[in-house]
Amino acid sequence: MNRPDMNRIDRITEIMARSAARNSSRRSFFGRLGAWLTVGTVAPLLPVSRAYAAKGPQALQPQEQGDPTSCDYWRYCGIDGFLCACCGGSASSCPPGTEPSPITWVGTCRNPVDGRAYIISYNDCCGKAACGRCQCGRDEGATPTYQPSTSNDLDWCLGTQAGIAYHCSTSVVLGPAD
Amino acid sequence: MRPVRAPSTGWLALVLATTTPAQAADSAAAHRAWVDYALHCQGCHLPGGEGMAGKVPAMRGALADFLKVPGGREYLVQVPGVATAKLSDADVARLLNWLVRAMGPDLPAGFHDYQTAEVATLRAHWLRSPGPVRKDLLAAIAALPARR
Repeated sequence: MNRPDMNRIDRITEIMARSAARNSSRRSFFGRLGAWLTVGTVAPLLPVSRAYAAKGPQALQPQEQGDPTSCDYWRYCGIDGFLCACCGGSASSCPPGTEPSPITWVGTCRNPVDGRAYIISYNDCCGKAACGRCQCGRDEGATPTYQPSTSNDLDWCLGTQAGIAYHCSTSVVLGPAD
Repeated sequence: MRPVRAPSTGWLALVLATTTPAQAADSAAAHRAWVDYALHCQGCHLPGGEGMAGKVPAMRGALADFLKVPGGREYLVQVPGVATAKLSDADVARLLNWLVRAMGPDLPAGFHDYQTAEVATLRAHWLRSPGPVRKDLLAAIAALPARR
């Protein structure tokens, strides 16, 4: 069967193969292959690699612009609360002395840098009195409390061991939504 | 340069191709199901489906057991969190077909995927009081022979 797409792939592959054959020798190829195998074998023994593995797979993190202490920051499109970035934490981490609520509401925000929608987890930080700085309520996609899984009016600190004292909210990127 | 007839490299294209169209479709469906899980389920059931003891039921290592007892397949659609989710019937079918495999344990022999029409029929009769139904199902699951 004559398939034009396969013929094109054949031609491209042939050009690449011939180019590779002209510009390299088998000896140098095996030398480089050996080097990569060595690196691949030894790299997991490095402490940096093991520390990464211990944290498990990391979600694809987008390129970002903007000020995480500003309510206009792209990740905050569905937030309602005090920004942890103004309270001793960051856009994605709780301040010292507080505990992130494991249960949360999850929505999407569009990143202006690449135009893609990302899944954002709005985790509350709990266990200390309300931070009181950088109040931000944009509420995009939030629903009334009778649809609790997407409501940002709930105190999600109900799910922590630290008690229901709400301190601030983070916006953690879980991955691309599209 | 001496002209040389290059051997067909069609086989190489096959080797280099990482996914077939069917696999790509499966991958896209799995990603869509994961997105729906993230947006509609994991806020309470947590990213790994582990739930919270006494507050949110665990799905990890438990969900597919519901498919092994009478009424369990229907329950997974009719439980309020699924039945009232802001998802289409097709979305719910795709989500459940992905979720029962992702959460495990092993699927029962003869399992067939949820279909959109089936989900639509079951959602029309969702459970207003799932607690007693859930209790009976868990008792039936506990009584299954040779549970691991």
